[in-house]
Amino acid sequence: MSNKRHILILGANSFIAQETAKNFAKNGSDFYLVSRDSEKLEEIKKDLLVRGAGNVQIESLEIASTLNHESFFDNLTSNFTELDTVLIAYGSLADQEKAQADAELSLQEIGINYTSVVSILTLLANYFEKKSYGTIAVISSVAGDRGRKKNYVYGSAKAGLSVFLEGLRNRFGKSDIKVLTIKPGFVDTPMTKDFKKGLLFASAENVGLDIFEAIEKGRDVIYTPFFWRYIMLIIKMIPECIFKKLNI
Amino acid sequence: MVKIPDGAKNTMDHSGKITSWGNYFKTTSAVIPLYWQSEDIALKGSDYFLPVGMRRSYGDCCLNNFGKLISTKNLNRFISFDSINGVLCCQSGISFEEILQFSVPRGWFLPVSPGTKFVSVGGAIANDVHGKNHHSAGTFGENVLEFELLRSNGDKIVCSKNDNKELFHATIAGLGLTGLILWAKIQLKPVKSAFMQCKNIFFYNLEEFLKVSKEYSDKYEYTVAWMDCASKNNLFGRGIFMCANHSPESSDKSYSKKMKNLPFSFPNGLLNNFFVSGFNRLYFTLKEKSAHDFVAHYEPYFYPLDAVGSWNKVYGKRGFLQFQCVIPFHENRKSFFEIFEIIKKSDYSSYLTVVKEFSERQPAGLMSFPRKGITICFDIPNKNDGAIEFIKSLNNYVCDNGGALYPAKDASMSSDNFISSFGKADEFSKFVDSKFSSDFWKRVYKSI
Repeated sequence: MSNKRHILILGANSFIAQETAKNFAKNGSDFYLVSRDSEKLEEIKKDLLVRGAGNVQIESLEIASTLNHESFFDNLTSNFTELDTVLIAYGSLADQEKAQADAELSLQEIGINYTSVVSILTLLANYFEKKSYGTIAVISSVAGDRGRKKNYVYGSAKAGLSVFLEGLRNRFGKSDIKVLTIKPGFVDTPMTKDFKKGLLFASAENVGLDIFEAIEKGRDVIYTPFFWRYIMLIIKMIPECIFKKLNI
Repeated sequence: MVKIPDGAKNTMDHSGKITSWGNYFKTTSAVIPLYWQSEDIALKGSDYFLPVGMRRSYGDCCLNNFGKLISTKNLNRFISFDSINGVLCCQSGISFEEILQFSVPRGWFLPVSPGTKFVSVGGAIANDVHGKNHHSAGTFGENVLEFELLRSNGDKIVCSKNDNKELFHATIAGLGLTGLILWAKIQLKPVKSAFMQCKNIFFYNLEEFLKVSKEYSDKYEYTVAWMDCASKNNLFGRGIFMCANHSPESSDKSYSKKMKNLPFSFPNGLLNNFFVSGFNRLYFTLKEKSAHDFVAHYEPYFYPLDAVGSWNKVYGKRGFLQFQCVIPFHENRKSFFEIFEIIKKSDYSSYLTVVKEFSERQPAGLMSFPRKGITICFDIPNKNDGAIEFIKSLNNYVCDNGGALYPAKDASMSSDNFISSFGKADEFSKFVDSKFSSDFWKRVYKSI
């Protein structure tokens, strides 16, 4: 059995985050869950406690729409002193056509998916550096591996995030601080509820299990389900002069 | 932890044709996924609604053509667990699989389980499911302590044997028509291990089955018989009476939980009588030669078919028809022998004919299917060879002889069959929410 962890989850209402947390609850881990909606957080808290979680604290906060994370962070570190693992799971997938017609919406998307994460990660990274251990796991996306007309606003934010995490991993490469970049493909969650569900869609349950195992093993980058690594490998290999004409 | 192939859970298409487990009906309806208990669910507008969980019903009681299906599969959280008394409170979309994964290591088991673990708590209540322990434990509904029902007018009503008890009894076996179950409190039962002590008893005709069933029902908590009804000669009616009790101690037997998915529908041609009858003979002979007393993990014992993700695809794109009835146990057992005579004389063969004796119990719901008698269950492929007419003739025989048909399996019963099977249908209809309906309900009752 794996060790008990003390996990901060930002965007805890995300279905991928919930499924990941279920796996950690089994060994009595403590949780600090942050999300917008406290009623939903209560539902998750009860579930995790039944499944074996030790202590579950919740805080309802619009973490993604602010760049001022100091007071949140001070509050967190004084109430959750043993923090050793963070999972950042929040994100927004706006309609691409609306985003490309509206710069404000595009910037808002970048704010949620990239800048706000950079802001909070800066504080967390320095915190773990002082402790000289910890795990930072962040949900990026396969959409960040190559820009496509169908989702490049979202994709560019996730691309920035993936590079930021890569740099962070390099900074901590020789220490006990692990940085995990999670690149899910299509997952059946509220974020994709209006999508037609094809063969490539995975359940949040299976993706959550992949993330749990990757954190436990201290991995660097995972694609989930695994086959996306190969799909993206092929997509990245297509020369730009051809790629730009494709409709994928 | 075991990964379940994504297709194995009968995941929903958000458009396109929607089918049930039998793949017989193809329908069109919007699926509204429900994610939170605290969500505002507006059950308004001109459409009819039907709550659905895993959609493992075989016929059309989980379908709502041109209406809206409210999917509870993401409403799958635990709420509380009393580890001293084994009382579990959970949201209605949680599956039996997830409950067992949680409860068995803690020494608790589901009080009643059907032949698949891919059913939701809400669905188990709505169909008042039964299992191999009906003779000793009754139906799932008998073990439900309390639940909360959301009605289309926005009312949230907590129902139990004491509070709102009429609605409580109408909702158990109420086929999802009385409202949407948000959460439920169920009584689990204590077990000492994840293993079962099993015994296989071989019988060679129908009389022997009755004798064995009488002799072993008191000694074993779980009993069910597989019968070879594909051999149309003197081998017809032989079978294996499988009994089991929960093992008092753990076993060191390892159990690997690999699961495979059938990637595509099989061609229908593989399901000819020759093939099916050969399979039945082989199965009987292999079982006869292997150990008759053995220890098995609960998964292969309770859920052998779950090991193959989408086993329903064996029956091809046209799907299959499932038949399940209960025949009352008259003094002379006339109808029991007669119905098997009809099956023997027919041209239809099934891989899996299951027979079990139900005991006499106070039904948990107004519309509960199990009642004293013998239940017979089998499936046949849907072909253009009169399969549906054959099932309909069996339906009529059962109802003419005081028996009943099981809505969760049914694709063909008539209004008359329904009224004959469920004497309290009119009383039940008063509890049906005016905005809720299903294809089954429209077929057998609403059209009357």
